[in-house]
Amino acid sequence: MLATPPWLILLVAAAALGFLRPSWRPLLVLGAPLLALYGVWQMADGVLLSAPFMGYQIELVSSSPLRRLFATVFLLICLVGGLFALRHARWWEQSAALAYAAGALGVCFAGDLITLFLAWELMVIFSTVVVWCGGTPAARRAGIRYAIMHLIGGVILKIGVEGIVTQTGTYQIQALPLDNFYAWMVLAGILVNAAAPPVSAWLADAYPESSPTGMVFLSAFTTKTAVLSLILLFPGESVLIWIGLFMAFYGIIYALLENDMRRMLAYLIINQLGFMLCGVGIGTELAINGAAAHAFSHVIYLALLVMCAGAVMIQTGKRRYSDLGGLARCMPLTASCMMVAVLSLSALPLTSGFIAKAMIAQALVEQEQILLWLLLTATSAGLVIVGTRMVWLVLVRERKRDVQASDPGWNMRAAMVAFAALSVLLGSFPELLYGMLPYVTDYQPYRAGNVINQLQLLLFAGLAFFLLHPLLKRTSAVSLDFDWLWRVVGFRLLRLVVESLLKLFQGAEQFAQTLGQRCWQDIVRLAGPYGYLGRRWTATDMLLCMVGLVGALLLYRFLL
Amino acid sequence: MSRDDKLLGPFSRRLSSRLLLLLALLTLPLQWWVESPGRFMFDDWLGFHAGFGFLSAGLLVLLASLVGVIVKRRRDYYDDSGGLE
Repeated sequence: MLATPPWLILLVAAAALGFLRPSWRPLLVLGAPLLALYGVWQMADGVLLSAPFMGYQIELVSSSPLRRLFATVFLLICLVGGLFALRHARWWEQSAALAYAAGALGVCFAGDLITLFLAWELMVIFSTVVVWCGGTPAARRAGIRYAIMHLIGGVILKIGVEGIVTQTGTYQIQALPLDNFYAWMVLAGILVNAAAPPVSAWLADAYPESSPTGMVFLSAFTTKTAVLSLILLFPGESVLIWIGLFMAFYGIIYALLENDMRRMLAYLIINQLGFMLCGVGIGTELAINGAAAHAFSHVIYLALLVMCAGAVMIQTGKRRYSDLGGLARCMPLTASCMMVAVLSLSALPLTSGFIAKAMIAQALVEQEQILLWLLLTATSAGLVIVGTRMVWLVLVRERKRDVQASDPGWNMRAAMVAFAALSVLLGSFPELLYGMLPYVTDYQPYRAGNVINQLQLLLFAGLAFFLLHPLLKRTSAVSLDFDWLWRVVGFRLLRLVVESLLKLFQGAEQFAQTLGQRCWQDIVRLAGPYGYLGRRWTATDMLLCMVGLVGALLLYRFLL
Repeated sequence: MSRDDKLLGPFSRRLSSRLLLLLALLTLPLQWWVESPGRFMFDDWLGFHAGFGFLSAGLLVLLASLVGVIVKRRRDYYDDSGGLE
């Protein structure tokens, strides 16, 4: 059954928001995701809506359990993120966020590559607007870099999609073997959105510059639609395992280095995406279930962390660890929610992080990928350090005298409590999440041995933090990332090329000018009023000249 | 000393870190009583996960410190690096 496409509900709401009275807007911001959520849960499997488009019959809504799972979590973000932003964000940010969510839902339910591409570009446009809603010069610059990167990614994806459509004649979404150039282009286009290195830096560059409310939406949609697309198009491609492993390590190391709370969260997103890509790369039913479950739970606890960081930023005006401290005293509810999010991030039993990561770990063991298991488990230990460091520096460590704060307004508190409760609820009753997964599973995360092993890992990693945290200095510095390649090296190279070309043109102009001047001087010297040809000749000279010319002409005719 | 200071003061912080140590050590003997998942050879070893968690966390911190020496720049680096700003 399909009454209206869920993405259309959000698009209409986004368009209508500006025309409503301010007092009516909350109704639309909260009502539209709820209505769309109801529509998603009423959907049957299969193609539910198709339409002709430029000679193709495109499938605008195609449903399956996997697609509904992602759509559900996106709409939860839309709803709870909307609640969080209710009294703080301007209406145009909320409108852009709704349109951005519509794009994400469009990707979720796209039955073919053409619809996927269109929804993809819708996301690019409105996510850029959400970044710009940060309202600072840094946000404007980061938004431009973000748009350039994603438009390039879109072009790469389009080349791949067009190639596949013209080569095979099919454009339905199905597993694509990586045996031709166009499939690789589709993969590359999706990996841009998945923040895979070497183009990962857009995430840590743009997201932290958005508004405290805008980052809640940004943290969920773009990267997780990429994960969904990878599950649908490239399940079991081993190249994803190695990319995912690199992302897990790269994300955790940069998160450990960061002094900026929001940039640290951006690197955590990359780290967690690494886990999901590993799951997709393994490609077994359990691994795909694990990747999907991890995407679901990660969206919730990461959004919770982003909300807590946003609440701290709104209430204190600060986002760097070196400027914060001791906030547990004055922001107890925010502190409690942050603790829940950090515990979930660390995959503590009874939180949503545990039930999802345990599945990916089990899939790795079943495929005898023990080395991979060890490496990913090592990054999990790193997550404990990152999370404990955040709690320590923001909530516990001695308070800065100039930081005066209290918990944020009721809507922000309600949004944070909702996601904290959901995180614990899913962790305590894993069947709630497992029941929505694409494959039926009887996996049991809560075996005594599993729980004890996980507790050992987390508690001893926590002890390592207390011993080694002085090494992680809170320097007010920026960490060079891959974007250094285009922000500095690339720009300097471009400037060098432009300057060289300018010099070349200047040299050519000067040469032409000098040559022209010399030619003119020679002509003047030869034929000017005082030149050889310009002066008065004697009759003898004229006669000799004429004789010479006639002689040369005769000789020429005689010889030829 | 206020109630908040008691909760988050140096004494309380010391106490919580010792409590964490105690809890961590308690998980070691628990391994004898529960059935190990036995997924691979060293999964059954006593304290393997504890040692692995401690070592890998420590190594990651050291690795991050080393990487930091290479990649850290002053905060206004991009503003006056002549880059795309």
